[in-house]
Amino acid sequence: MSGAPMRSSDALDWFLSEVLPLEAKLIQYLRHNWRDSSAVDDLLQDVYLRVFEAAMRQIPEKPRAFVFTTARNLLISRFREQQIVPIEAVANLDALDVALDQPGPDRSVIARDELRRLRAAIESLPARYREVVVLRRIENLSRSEIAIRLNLSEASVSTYLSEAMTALADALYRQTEKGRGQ
Amino acid sequence: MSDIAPPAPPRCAAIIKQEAGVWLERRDRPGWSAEDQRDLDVWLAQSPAHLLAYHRVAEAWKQTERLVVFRRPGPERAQSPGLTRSTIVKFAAAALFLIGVLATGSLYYLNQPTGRSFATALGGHKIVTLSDGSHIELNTDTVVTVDMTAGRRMAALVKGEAYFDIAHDASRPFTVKIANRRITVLGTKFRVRGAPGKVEVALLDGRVWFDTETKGKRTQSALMSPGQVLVATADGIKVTSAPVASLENDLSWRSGMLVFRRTTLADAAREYNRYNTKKITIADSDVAKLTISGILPAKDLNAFTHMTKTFFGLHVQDHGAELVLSR
Repeated sequence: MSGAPMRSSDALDWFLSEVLPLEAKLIQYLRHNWRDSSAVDDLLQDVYLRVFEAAMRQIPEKPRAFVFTTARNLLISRFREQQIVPIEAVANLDALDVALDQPGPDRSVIARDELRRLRAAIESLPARYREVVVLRRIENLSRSEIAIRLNLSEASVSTYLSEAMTALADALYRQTEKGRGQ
Repeated sequence: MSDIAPPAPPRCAAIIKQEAGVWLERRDRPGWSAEDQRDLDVWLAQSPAHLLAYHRVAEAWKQTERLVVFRRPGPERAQSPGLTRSTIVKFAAAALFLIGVLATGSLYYLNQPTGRSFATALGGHKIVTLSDGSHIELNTDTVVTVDMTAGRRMAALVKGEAYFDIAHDASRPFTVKIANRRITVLGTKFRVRGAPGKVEVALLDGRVWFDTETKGKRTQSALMSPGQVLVATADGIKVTSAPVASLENDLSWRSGMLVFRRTTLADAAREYNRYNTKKITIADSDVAKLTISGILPAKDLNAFTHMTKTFFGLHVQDHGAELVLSR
């Protein structure tokens, strides 16, 4: 059982289908506007949490605009907390409007593109992650079979797999346009 | 009810992400129990950050289900494994095959050729998956060109040896050309080996037409059935039959192995020399006539020389570029 009310699963579906595809652009935006790039993962998480909480109450009609506005508001409140507002940050925050005006790729393009993007993401993974993903998903091998193939313990295979899963999500959702399809 | 009650200061995103990966990996293992699910639910309920991180990773992993299109259809995976000797041998062979592929450090599965050329170096091995789902496996020192269009599927074996596993498409026959020979198929599995003046085709499944063209005319044709081996030379075409199982043995190179059945050392050496830059030479004709049986890795000359030392008491001299076997 998920323990979540219906609305929360709607919000989750919406999050996965509408918000996750914006991650690459969102990361780009956060990096541009926040000096400390090591904080970007945390900022992203905060944006996601705010967006998701809002969606639990009501699903936003314009996901793209909503997500980037949330990101902008988050950055502004962080600037205030730190009591410093870098000049260039303000200038870049305005660039948000430009990002909002760009139409997203339409659905059919996304669908056609997905396999290619998936391949590019897998190819970008470190060799060991790529190996376990290929063995698990293409060769359909069990952990013990993979352990034999790669001469590793099963526990190591599990560790590599879990790390590969995380790395794959990053590679997939953070692919930039020019990084695609290489 | 307060509008935005920012959730309790979320923990470091990187750690949550890592934990999400650990959970998903556990979820992917066999034997996931109701108790495991309860534990996961507890973790997910601790924070929306957990929930989002987990589903984000799960969503990406789910996409990899699409990779099944690159799955290599092989007899060893299609059958339910019994504990027979042949299963074990095939299993071991599959293991080696895979390592051979991975060792090259590239995902050949992921290549989708159109009007492209593929080649392997001496000792190389490569799998190409075509846009129609067909697979071509290139053996050592092989060049194959492929041209896929809406109306036709064409490949040419420029040199070497390849195994073709062709997806059925009645509207688009698949043609393989080797010099002036032409193999036309609808959907099948076969192996082609081209040597100077000689073409060898072994058919494992389905039916193929074999044609020879001389000055634009089809002069010799043969319709092949599974289990047949066709050898075409300038003298003509000869078709012999063999059990499909033994043809599969001939495909052992796909797993990086050589299969010898009462094979003379001369023939065995010839096989090794197809895969290795270091050549085996047999010093005298008596030695050349000795026969061996067994399955040995194609690129491990030591395994071979060790066997000849142990079984026949031969001497092996290593001259760098050449290994000489003698009494």
